[in-house]
Amino acid sequence: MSTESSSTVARVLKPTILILIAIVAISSRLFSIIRFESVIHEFDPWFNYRTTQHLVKNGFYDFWNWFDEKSWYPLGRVVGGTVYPGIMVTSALIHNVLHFFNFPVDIRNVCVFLAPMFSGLTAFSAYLLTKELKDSSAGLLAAAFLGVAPGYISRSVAGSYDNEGIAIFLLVFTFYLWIKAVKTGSAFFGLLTALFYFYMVSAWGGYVFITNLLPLHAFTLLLMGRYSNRLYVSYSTFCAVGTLLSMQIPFVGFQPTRTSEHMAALGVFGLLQLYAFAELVRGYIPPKQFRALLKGGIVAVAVIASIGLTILSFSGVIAPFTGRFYSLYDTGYAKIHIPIIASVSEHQPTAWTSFFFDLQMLIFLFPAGVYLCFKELKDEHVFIILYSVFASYFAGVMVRLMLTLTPVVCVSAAIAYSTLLDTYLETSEHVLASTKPAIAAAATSAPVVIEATTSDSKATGKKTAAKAAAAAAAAAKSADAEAKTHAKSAASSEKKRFPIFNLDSRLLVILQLTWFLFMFAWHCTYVTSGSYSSPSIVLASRQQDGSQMIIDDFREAYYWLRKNTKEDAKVMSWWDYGYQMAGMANVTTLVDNNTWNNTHIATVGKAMSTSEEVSYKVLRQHDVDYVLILFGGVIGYSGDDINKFLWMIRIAEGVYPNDVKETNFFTPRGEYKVDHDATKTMRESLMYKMSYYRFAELYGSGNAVDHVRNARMPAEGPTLSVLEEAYTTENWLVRIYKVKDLDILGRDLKDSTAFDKGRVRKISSLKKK
Amino acid sequence: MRASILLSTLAMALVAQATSLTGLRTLVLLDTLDDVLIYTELWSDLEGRHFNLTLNDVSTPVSLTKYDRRLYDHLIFLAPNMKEYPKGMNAKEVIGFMAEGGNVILAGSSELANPLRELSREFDVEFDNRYTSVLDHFNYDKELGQAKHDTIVVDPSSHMSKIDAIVPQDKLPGPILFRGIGHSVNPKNSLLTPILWAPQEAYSWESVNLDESADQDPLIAGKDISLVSVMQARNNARIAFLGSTDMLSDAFFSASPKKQGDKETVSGNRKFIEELTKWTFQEKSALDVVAVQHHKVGEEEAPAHYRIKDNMTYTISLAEYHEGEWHPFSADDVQLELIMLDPYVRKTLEQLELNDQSTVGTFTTTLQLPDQYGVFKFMVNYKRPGLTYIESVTTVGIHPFRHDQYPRFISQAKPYYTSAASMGVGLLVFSFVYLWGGLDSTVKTTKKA
Repeated sequence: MSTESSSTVARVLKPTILILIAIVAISSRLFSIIRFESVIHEFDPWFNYRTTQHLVKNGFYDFWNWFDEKSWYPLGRVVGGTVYPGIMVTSALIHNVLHFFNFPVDIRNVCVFLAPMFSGLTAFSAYLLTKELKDSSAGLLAAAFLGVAPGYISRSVAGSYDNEGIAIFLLVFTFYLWIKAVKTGSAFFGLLTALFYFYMVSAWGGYVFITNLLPLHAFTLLLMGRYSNRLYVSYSTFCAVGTLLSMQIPFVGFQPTRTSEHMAALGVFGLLQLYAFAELVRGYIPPKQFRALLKGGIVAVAVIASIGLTILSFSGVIAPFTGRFYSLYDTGYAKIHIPIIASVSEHQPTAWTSFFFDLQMLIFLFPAGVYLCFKELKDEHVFIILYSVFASYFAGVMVRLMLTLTPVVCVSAAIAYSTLLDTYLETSEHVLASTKPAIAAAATSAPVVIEATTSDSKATGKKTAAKAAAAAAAAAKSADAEAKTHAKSAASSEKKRFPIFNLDSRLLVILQLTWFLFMFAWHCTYVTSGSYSSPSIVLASRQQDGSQMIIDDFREAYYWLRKNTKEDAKVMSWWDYGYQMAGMANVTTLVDNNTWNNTHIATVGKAMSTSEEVSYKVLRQHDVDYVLILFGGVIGYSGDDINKFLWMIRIAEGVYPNDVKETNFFTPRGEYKVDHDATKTMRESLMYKMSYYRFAELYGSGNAVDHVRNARMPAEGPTLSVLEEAYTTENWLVRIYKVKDLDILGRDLKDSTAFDKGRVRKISSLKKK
Repeated sequence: MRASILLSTLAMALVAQATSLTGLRTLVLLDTLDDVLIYTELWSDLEGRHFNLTLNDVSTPVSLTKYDRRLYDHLIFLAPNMKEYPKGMNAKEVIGFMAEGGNVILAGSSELANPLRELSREFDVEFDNRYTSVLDHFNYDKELGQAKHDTIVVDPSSHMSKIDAIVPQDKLPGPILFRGIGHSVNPKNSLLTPILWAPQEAYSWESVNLDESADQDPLIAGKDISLVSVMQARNNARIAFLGSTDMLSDAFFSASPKKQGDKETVSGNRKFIEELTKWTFQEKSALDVVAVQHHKVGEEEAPAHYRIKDNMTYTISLAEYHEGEWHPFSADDVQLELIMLDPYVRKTLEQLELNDQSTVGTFTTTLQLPDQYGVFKFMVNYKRPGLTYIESVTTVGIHPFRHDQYPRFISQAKPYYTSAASMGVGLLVFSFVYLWGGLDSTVKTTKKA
């Protein structure tokens, strides 16, 4: 095979492989659609879907100025100014383009399939990025890894219509452009970096990662004494254009100039200018004077900068770090200060096992890849090292940030893997060249090696012998049968020397690596299908006979709300279900997953955790018509509201310490109980009453058992007077209660409920006066 | 506006026959049908006002509702001895009847039996023990209460509430005669209003064995004894509690009350009962919101939503029903509130001047909306004793500025505009000079070297 023909083959093969990778990436994300249907998943995607619908229906400017009266009643939400519009605009654009060409695709399908489509692009950008770091074969591996890595699939299966779905593509692509810019020193690539950075800012709050990583890279290069005009041009272009562009997103606004999170970018920008200036000055004055000038200059700049920064921070021009940011340093911070952040499961620290679960063998190859980067240590390798260090830290702190780690793991694992393959598979000149001294060494020690190998196949673990064997192996791969013609002379001589030994060790390693690849693919598919493809609005469970049972209570309840309540009905629920209710039931909600107003959420928490009388006042003040709760006690669904109840109590206590006290919900022995031992406060709380109202009737004669908490419930269930049961779904998963009006005769609702049950008032206190 | 005229003419057309707003079918429950003869004047008064009376004794089965619809519009209890409700009726039914908008008059006597006591208790009205009467040794009527001092003469000017919407004082020709049981009302129940109460010297005591010496204090005495109380429920159904069936009897209607040492006067009972039944049966003091309009100043139509700090006009038209017709309602204390959790604006509405053609009272105001976006309730919450409760809620969103409603150029930013412009010009000049200005870069490099 000639060089020419092999490069032609490669030219055909590479795009084919990339397309195949994209197809694999997309199709492995379609499990949920095949199993269930083309629906939007989870919680946040429902909001994105709803806003996208609004955007498609009413146009961009209406979306931009949308004031949503149906959420956060009665405060409302300025959607245009509190949203990252990237994903909505992207899908609306795709939708409109398709419609322009007369493909009548429903916007729902665009939304459902957006994340898988972008995963194909992500794989492609991983290819580009890795190609810049090593070569195109490593790039192909990285693309394949990122295409199927569960850490990324977890947020990008079909139907998971969330910001991360496109943001990871933008992240990787922006990094690729940045590396390209640093490598070439071209203002054009710097500009492209800024443009994609802008797209990223419009798509995901995680853009802060880029905002800090790129300056850090530039700063590190400065410290390493690698200042160059390339760096200066690329960074200055990126920083100036990128910052200005990012300020065009209303949600970001003036943050880039005012918050601490963004200061690094501006600081490094200033530093680069000073450095460039110093370089310029150095060219014009003698070194001695320059040194004095430099010292003075550094001191002056440091003093001015620190004084300026202090004044600005204290006067409030630059906002201090936000709570979310602190919780990245101290994982216990949120638990104490901001329960609302800590209550979100995806903000919890990552369990060790989930690293393996999400990345499988890549997590082992990852350090090797970083090590190889250290060996090369060009500008772009420094970047990957920084990226991997920081992403690893953040992924350890927060489950959600596994997502930012996954690309760099794939890239460096691909570098490691491809280096291994290069070593064991490829027979090319550069291997020969790099191993020339080794070959020389091997030549001298060859007899020893042969002796060792022949006399005892399991050679003693002598270092020299092992080294020699490695060198021999390195030489061996250059002696492959498919060796290139111009390497023939060297190869043939080697081939003569170790024919069998070479093939064995190579085969061993290669087969093992291939086996790893198979295992990886198998694991990825298994994880994707088993864990990440559940829409979470529809639950599937296995019955005793093994057949599948679909639990569709959520949609049943939302559909009931949609069809049976008046148009402007206000439904209160815990914030987790706000987006789904708005999207599916089209009702007005009090709080939702955009947790911007802690007080309002705490008010809902208070209504849930106080007695009926206190709660009723809150319900009336907020014009609540219905209350919706999740109750898993019947089928054993553990994510129900009683299990989330402690968070409601904690959040409510933060704002209303006089009305709600967490300790009152624990038994004297410090247990959280719902059965006979439940505390009085617990039993009188609205949430408890709503959850277990008429629960005992389901079983009869005191046999009621809560399957989630394994608690035997009292035979006499709670009574409700300010609410009446409106609807309970098939599996009791969702219960909806209607808030009663004030009694027409001015009695309190407890009395009127008692009267309706046939109990008349006994002689009242009036007489005893 | 046109709609309101239409509405009121429609209402007027209906009124040609009806005097009560809610209907004319009236059920009267009597202990025995023989009692019919006691109240002949009352019947003729009611029938003179077009009511269709159904007179039943308590043994006749009756149902108040059928298929969740009321079969009667008004209910009069003149059966204090009723030990059990007629078949097909119970306390829950009566309250359900009120919840559907029916009105009730409940009259008791010293023999008042348990069912009606328990019913009254649901309204926070507590009648005194059985066989007690309101006694007064100073204000008894010379003629009717000579024996037991149990028929008392109540002076409306001092012992009747001054709510003209229910019983206007100036229409009563004389004092009111009362013989029966007293009750107390729960002052915490804001829906309940005592209309007539006992003189200071009265007390409530067993009227059977008057000769036995009293060994304990009376449960209620003096002004705490309510004789007549009314309640307007939250759904505007009305109910009146009277401690005395005799008040409605022909004898009391035509009596000439005379306190000891006073001159003989004309009984005010007939007029009092007439006004009370008129109020209870929604023949007067019923209000209605005819129209609510709101719009931005300078516009006509109501917008889908407002913007913060908009100037807007709010108008509400109210009509009052009396004498079988809708009339314009007049008041100077109608207030508008803008509520989002808390009231942001509270303003008294001004009434437009009435003229001959007016059919409604129009209250209006112009105000500037608060600098706060959200979903606001424009609420007129007008609740006055005796009048129908008005609670008109219009929910409107107040939005923040649109992106193009901010000023495009602001004066504070002029330094920035200047710097941006000068930068652009500077770049142009520099480029020009650099490219064609004859700067010789080679000179520099040689120097440097």
